[in-house]
Amino acid sequence: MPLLLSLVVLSAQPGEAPPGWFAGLEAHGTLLSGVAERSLLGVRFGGALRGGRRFEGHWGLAGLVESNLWLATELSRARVLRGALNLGVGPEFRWVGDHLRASLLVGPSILLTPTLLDAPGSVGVFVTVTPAQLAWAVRSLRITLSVLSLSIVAPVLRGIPLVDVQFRTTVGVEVLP
Amino acid sequence: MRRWLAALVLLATLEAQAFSVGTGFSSGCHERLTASLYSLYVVDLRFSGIELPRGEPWRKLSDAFTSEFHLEAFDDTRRAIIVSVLLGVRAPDTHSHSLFELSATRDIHLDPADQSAHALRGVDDDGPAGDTAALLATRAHLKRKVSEALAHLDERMTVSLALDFYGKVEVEVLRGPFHLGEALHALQDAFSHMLRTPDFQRVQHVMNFVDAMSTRYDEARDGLRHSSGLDVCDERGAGPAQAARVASLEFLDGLFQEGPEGADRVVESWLAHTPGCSIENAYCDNEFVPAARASGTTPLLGCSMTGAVPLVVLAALLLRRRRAAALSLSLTACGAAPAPLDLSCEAMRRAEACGGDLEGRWYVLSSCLRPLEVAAPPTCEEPSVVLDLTATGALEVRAEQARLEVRGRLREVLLRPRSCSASGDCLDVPGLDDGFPCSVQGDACACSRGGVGREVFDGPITRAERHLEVAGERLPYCARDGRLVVEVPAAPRPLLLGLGRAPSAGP
Ligand SMILES: [Zn+2]
Repeated sequence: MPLLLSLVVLSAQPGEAPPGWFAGLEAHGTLLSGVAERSLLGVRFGGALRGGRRFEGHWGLAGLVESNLWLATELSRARVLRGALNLGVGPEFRWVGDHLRASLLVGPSILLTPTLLDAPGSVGVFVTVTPAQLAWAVRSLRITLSVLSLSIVAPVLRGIPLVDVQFRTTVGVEVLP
Repeated sequence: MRRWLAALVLLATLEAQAFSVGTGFSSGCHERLTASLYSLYVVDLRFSGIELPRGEPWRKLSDAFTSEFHLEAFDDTRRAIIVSVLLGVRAPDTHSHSLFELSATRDIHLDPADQSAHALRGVDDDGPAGDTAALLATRAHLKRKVSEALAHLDERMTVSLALDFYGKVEVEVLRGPFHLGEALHALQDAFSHMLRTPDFQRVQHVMNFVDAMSTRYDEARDGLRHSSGLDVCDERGAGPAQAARVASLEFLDGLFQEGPEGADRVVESWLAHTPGCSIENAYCDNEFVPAARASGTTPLLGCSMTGAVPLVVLAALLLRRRRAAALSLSLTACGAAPAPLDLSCEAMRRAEACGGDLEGRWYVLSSCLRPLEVAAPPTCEEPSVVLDLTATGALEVRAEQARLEVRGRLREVLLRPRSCSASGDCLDVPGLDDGFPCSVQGDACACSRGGVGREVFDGPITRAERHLEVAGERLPYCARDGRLVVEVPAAPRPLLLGLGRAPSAGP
């Protein structure tokens, strides 16, 4: 997979992202958590649908719906949980010839899985900050790569809050109609 | 990349923490052993005047633990005890942290002042005298934990633990059971961190973790390396985990029956030292030494490692699943010389070896049977009862030439069987459902006694020569292969049997 990605990236050109609608698919993942006083392991992964509209100049509006799966590693055997459904909307900023994008999306985070302390359905907050998403044009597609983004998935805010800080790597493909 | 390697090393280190507490990558041996004690003993104790912990988290955790370990909690007090004692038994290995919190884990396990909490040598416990010192320290630690538990028996306390996704969470628990959990941890570690005589009753040598993780480790001075070779946590087989469970049970029983002196007496008996075992004589040729050496704990980045093994290779090697060491044990039966004996078959072997009367009290630990109070019979007699134990925790008892009585009792603890059924190869006996009658009577499974009838065996066992008396009427009886299945609420669940001798048979 990294090899394939490298080939695509090397053969692609920096892309112009013209004004207009866009939509795409993304996959994200993270293995380690850097949060103090927490497990070093923080395996999270998932997929998302991202879309929006880019205006003339630097600015645009983006939205995202994602499924964020979690690997549980404490107390008993490791298992993948359905995690949270996250929704976000917010501004996108393009610069360096439109092949660098930054975005800040905010929205609800909905707990999908029962945890030790909470039942599914709890709704909290989702914030994801992408400082630099790289984009390359491959015909009418854009291949995107964000080496590091910060996402705060917090589907439970009452009682004992569930606030999961994730440092993610994200790849995607975008269609410009 | 360095973080990845660190994670691998961390996982390798976790694997080496015999017995382990539960994580995504290690089985919860301490928890399983302790949960079985709950089912066997604690569940039926009477409690009064215990104030429940406050807040919701302990209830949620109790749901998780009861479901994970198939425990039955009949009321909130027992739920609180389950949570408290299981968090207590985890605490010495976690100290409120995630085991994957690398910076904390190292400090916790290498704390020189905390080695006795894991029944290990301290840094100054050197040479043969080190064994004695470590045993004394472990006993003192256990004594301290017991007195802490008793001093705060009806108090509540707040403890922290690391939960997936939430990080550190504070939970209120019962202080007494929590400290008892800590004590049980040390006692159980005394079976995975100590070389013992083949019957596991006495200690030959105490192992070393804190020096073994340093580069100045010297086996002759510091003792055998801590090793994952002794942590085969298989409750079905014969091994340290079995013995640890029996010791834990006796410890609780000693405590509840006789108070702290009783607990200390049990601890003293299981920490009794057999001196003279050292590196020179391969620790009295202890059969666990090869397994211990094969998977000894080493400083992963130290100079004492063999050759320049790349870290990642080493981590991978350490991460591989260990093969369970094949163990053979020996026990003294009927005062005879020690003979090789499979602990799981001790009842049968004892019966075969010396015609041992099985009268007495026995633990049935999953598929393993162990005497609790069985007097060595003065004379050898025919075996009175043969037991077949199924792996699922159901207990099958096959009666041969015996009055058979299965009482769901452990000392004064009732087992509460859910159902009893019997089957045999003679289903046409009038008035009997399936071979011979058997039912739950009160808190016990009663078969062939009271109620419907009484088994009477006439001399050698043949179908024709056996009969059953029901309401004064003799009925043909052919349950030679009859089986009694006692279903208990949680499986696998230990049982204790009261086995009676066959009454003198007569037509
Ligand atoms: Zn330990």
